[in-house]
Amino acid sequence: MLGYKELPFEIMQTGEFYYDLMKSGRIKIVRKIKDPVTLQDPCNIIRRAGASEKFRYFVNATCENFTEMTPNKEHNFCCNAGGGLAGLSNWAAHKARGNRVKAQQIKETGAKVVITPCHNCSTGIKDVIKYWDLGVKNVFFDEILVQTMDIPETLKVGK
Amino acid sequence: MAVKEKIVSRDFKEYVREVNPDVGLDESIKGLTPEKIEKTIKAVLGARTARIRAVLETCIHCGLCSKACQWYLSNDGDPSYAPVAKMRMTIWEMLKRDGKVDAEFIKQCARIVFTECNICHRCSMYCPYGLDVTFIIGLVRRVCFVLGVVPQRQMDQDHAHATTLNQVWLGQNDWLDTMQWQEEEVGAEYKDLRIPIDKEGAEVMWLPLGAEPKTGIYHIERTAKIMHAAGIDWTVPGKDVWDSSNMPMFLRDFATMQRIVRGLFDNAIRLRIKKMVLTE
Repeated sequence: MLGYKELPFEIMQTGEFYYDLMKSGRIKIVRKIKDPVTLQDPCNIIRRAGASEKFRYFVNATCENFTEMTPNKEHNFCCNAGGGLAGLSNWAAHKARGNRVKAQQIKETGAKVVITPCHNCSTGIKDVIKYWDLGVKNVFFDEILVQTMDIPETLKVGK
Repeated sequence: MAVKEKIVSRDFKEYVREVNPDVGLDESIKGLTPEKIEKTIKAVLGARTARIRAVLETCIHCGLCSKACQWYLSNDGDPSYAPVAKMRMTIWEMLKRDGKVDAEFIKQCARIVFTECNICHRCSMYCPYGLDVTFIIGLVRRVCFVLGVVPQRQMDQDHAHATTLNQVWLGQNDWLDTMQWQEEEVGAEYKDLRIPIDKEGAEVMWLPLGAEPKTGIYHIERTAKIMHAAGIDWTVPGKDVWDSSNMPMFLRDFATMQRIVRGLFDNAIRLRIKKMVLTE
């Protein structure tokens, strides 16, 4: 499409990149998140690019208490912010009403934290949590990793 | 609580929705003429490609897609939210009337395709024929986009992309300044922490979402920490394009969409990186 027959580089989402870092041992996980968590599967990265197992590896490695939403993986429901709907803040109530199933899914897991690997999902899940008053927290992938990974003391200033 | 005002579609009585004012839909239809609409519809759908016909001529209206859609399930099984209904109320009607539809109809189409479908591809998975419903939704989006009938916030993001090649109207100087500011900020805690800009031959090129340098600075801080802890040879592009989001793709603004992807790829080739890591 863009004149390249075979790309001379790899393309990946940050979640897949974190998986590679953990798998190859470049990042070590030294703590685990104790709160019960669940994971929102982003449509395009899971359904279309097939990263579901990598994301599960990430969550299981960083969290102690992980409950799946049902349905999950390729059968997940969208966060309702995908497809360019994320920016539509004046339609927020309309969007959140249109995603009652997601609110039920989150409630049924009993999780206190919804992990989102994608910015669109983050927006959508926040809207759902707020509108349906779920009382749970939405946490992004990078925050989980920074909280649980090992940062060698020797890298810190003054050590 | 006051009873909310409802609108009932003139063409489809089962389509009942709450009023939701949006300048992008309400005002932009005022400039449309029947000729303009017909011409646009014919330009977009005129050459009925095999891909369009595969969907429209294979669909048997079985309705299995409806239970795949979170909009349908969340609205107590209201049939007007079913994916097949979204096609019937938009593209089918356009073709049935040979493009002779009015501005009010286009506005309703825009509401359906831009605010009631996430292009999540779940319906295609549950369709017994695996039909690409979202491709059809995309075509209707294309019609609406060419006519300029798009919810205001989405159109604004598209304009931002067309003008600055990122979705948040961030100029190149602001982008560079933000990266250097974060390098200083996080670097106060860690030895030799860098956010390398335009480093040729780096292993990884990291591309944020446009909103990260604008309103989500903490993401850049965390990414810098992760890269530093893992000892990654990484870089961010100093030239446009650095925003990994692509709003024009959702609006089917193909010209701008291609400029963005091209820009990202050109940066990758220019810096000879091995991995492109995108937040979106």
